[in-house]
Amino acid sequence: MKALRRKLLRDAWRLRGQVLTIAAVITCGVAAFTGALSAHDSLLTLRERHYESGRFAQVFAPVRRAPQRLADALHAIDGVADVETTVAGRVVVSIPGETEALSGRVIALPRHGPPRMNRLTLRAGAFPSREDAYGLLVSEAFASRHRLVPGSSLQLLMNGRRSDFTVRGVAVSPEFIFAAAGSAMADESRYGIFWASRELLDGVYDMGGAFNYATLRVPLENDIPAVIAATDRLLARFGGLGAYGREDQASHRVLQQEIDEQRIYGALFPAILLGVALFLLNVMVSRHVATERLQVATLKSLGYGTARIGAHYFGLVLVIVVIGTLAGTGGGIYLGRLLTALYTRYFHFAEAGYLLRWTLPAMALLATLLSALLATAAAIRVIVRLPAAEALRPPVPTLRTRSLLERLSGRRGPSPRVAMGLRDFTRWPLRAALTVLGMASAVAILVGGSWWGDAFDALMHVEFGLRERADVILNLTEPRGPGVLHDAARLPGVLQVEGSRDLGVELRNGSRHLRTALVGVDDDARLHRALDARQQPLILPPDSLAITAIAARRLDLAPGDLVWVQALEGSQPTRAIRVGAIAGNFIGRAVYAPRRLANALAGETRAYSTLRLTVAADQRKALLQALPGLPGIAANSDKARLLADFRGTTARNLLVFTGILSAFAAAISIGIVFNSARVALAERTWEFATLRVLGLTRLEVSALLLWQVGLQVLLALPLGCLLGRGLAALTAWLIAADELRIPLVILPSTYAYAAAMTIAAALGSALVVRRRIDTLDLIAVLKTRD
Amino acid sequence: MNAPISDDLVFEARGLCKSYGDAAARVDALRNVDLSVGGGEFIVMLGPSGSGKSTLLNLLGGLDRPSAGMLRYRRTDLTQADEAALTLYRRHHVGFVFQFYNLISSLTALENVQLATDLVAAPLDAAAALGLVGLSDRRDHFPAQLSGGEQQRVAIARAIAKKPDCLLCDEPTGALDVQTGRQVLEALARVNQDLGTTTIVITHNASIAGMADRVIRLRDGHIDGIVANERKVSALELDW
Repeated sequence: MKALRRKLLRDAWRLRGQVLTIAAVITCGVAAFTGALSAHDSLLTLRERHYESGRFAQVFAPVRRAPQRLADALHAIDGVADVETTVAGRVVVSIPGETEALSGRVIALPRHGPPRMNRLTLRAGAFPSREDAYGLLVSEAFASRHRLVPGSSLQLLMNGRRSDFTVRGVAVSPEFIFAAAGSAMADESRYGIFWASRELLDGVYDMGGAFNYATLRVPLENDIPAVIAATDRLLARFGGLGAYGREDQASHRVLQQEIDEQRIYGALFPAILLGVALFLLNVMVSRHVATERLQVATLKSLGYGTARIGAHYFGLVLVIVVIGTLAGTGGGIYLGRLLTALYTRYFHFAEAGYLLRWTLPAMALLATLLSALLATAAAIRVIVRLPAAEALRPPVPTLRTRSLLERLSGRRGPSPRVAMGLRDFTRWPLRAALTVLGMASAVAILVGGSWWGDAFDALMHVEFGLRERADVILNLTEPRGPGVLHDAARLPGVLQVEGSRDLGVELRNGSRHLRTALVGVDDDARLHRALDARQQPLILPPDSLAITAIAARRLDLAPGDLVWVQALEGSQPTRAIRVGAIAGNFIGRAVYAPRRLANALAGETRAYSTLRLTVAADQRKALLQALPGLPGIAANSDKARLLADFRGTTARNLLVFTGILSAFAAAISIGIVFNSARVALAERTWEFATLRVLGLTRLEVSALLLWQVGLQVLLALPLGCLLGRGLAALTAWLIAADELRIPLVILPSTYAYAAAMTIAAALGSALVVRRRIDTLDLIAVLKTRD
Repeated sequence: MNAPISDDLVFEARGLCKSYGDAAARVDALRNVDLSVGGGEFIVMLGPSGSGKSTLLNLLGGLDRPSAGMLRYRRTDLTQADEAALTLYRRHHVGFVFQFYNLISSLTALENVQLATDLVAAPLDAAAALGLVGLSDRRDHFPAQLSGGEQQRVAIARAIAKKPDCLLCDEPTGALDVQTGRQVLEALARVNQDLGTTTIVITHNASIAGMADRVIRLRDGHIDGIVANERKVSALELDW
């Protein structure tokens, strides 16, 4: 081994504390980058493969009842490569021994062979045979939650008709990778997808020679809008419910949002971590090369060239970057697998798997290396370009002055020890500021990573405490007159009943359009209210709509504007309705209207499609058990159960997420404090030894060092809390979607947690450095010149 | 020859040894040194490099502990003192002056002295200590604004401001030219005379010997001879 390389390795070993703590920050950055982006790639690949192998359709067209011959007309639309029609419907599910209120969707299997589009992948069992009218396939998430296996029995209530079925197989479908009734909040374990015999469903839903759901394959993306429009025109006469593309398809939309989130995390957190790592590298290398003046002079006098010596010092940077990138890639693979596994609990793909593109670690290495080169080049250049003779002389002492603070406070200064601390702190103002900023970024990452719990609690409070206040919600199979309210009031334990008319609508403003649910509420509704942006109940002006801020932005609408509204049920004419207010929903993109207006849009007089009940606590179970037997109810949801499940899921995910970010923040705090204390100690070893000789105790000298760290932490905490709030606001803004808006709520306990973690990490690493004060070699230090 | 000027001994060493390293590579820096130093004495220790004079000074100053033998400061046994006791000993009884001044660069001359006066209950006034070494007009200057001689005099002021019993100086003129060196030695002599501080100066510069009460020569880790000067010369008369 060349002597210079041996020196490099020994330098790295001697500085191992700093090398490792900086490498740890790089590790976290590379791990966050590789982990989030490999999870992104994996989800994307798994989805694309599933879409490809499962021939996921591009356009989906629900309709009330269209004759089978219309399939040819749909096929004839320009750009359509294939059309498949089927029968689908909402079902209420009863499983023996299960008291829970369950709902789902049943879809007919083709008469001959497997589906051509939205193909099923069997997880267990087999397709039911043609003769097996009461055999069905069940979606994987639902099956695993309710322990359904081939041979299990269940009962479906379809169109008011109750039938017993036997599970023949368990399947996944590209159409229901996330199987829920339309929003990210829905719980797929309570929403089953069933595939059953076409003959049977034709009978149940009265679809002989007809269909109520078509899927279209449209190979060219550009054709899709025209195909949707043409499909709507063709189906309008038959009660078209509005064709839509993948971006409005429930499963695709939820999946897309999660995939996009990974990209955001894959950029945001690594950028912060890399910034901190570069700063630490700069400080460490600057200090290291400054102590190497004599060695540089010696090497030069031996005949080593400037470039060779520069490369030698950059070698140290290289060692750190390579250690950090290698460990970070390992960590990233672990993290990527963890995130992918976490997602595949909710997303049911045809294949399992994790994909790491080799370009990710290569990009991470290249980006880290280049930025590390930039961060340290100036410091290395100054030293290696010193003429040998000059390098042999000690550096010219810097003229020290009183700090600005002292000058402002007048002649009588603080005690010498306080003055020392102040002047040393302000000696390198940029470095001090960056140290504080770096520490603040640790606090910020902690706040920005653990505020989700607060936000979700606030969201739950608004959505389920203020907006949706019913205990049980019943969706009716058909809209019914006011008598249904009285019927419901007679159900066991029911205290209050309110109804709303919910229907699918398309909103149009010029070329912009949006399909969504319209909720028609009575003026005196208490159990489900539209809320304004400040979460106050919204009084809807007659003949006007309240739309969410996101919908308003998407449609370029403001209160007072007119919007064209068409009900997706029946064939009612489009009406221009005024936007009366902006609704402050966090979940969903439903629009609100007075119930009368909703009825008018659907072309009916007073009718309700959804009932909301409050129930005596002791009767809740009895009610839920009675519901599956009642006719006219398509689905029901029990708020308490929904909330408990949602909280359980969220809590588990938050724990993983917060755990990972806490590790990042700890790496930053330790990295910053250890390095800044280590450099401060290195720069002041001589001073500290002198003070020890003068008679200052170890504790007193340690206090001088810790005082500086303490001041930095003290300044970093409020700044970090502010930055954390900013980071939270940024992530909330970046991931805000149609379905879910995150309120920016951060409780004091979250700030306190972030502060406590940072202080603990800082204190720990400062105390490790402090121990070196105990072993200062007083005699050796005093024999040398500073 | 152990002839204290006053009866109360400041230092008393018997059979003092200091060795470094393990058995295989042991270096005996000090071997069987017997020494008594009386209150108010001005002692110059001479010896070539490696003779053990710095080791002896470090032991006397409580910077290091002997390997064997007995070392006493007044009635305190330094041989048995632990780290904390040695720190307190240095704090209250010893003033150090080093070859490279060891001033804190971020503190002014006055503040450097205050650093020492803050440590003890009844110190000299910091400004008065600076006056004693002739630097009243440089009190607000930072070390980088002072010449080498001035810096060394600030170091002396800092050492004496605690009113220590003894002043231990390791090559105090080693980094200075003759003229500046004389000023520094003059300051040391004045402190010794005015405050009665026992002063031990180690140097390899034999010319300084003339200003001492006693001259102790060291060689190979033991005392080679002790000479009492019949007549002390003033620092200003020295030349080298």
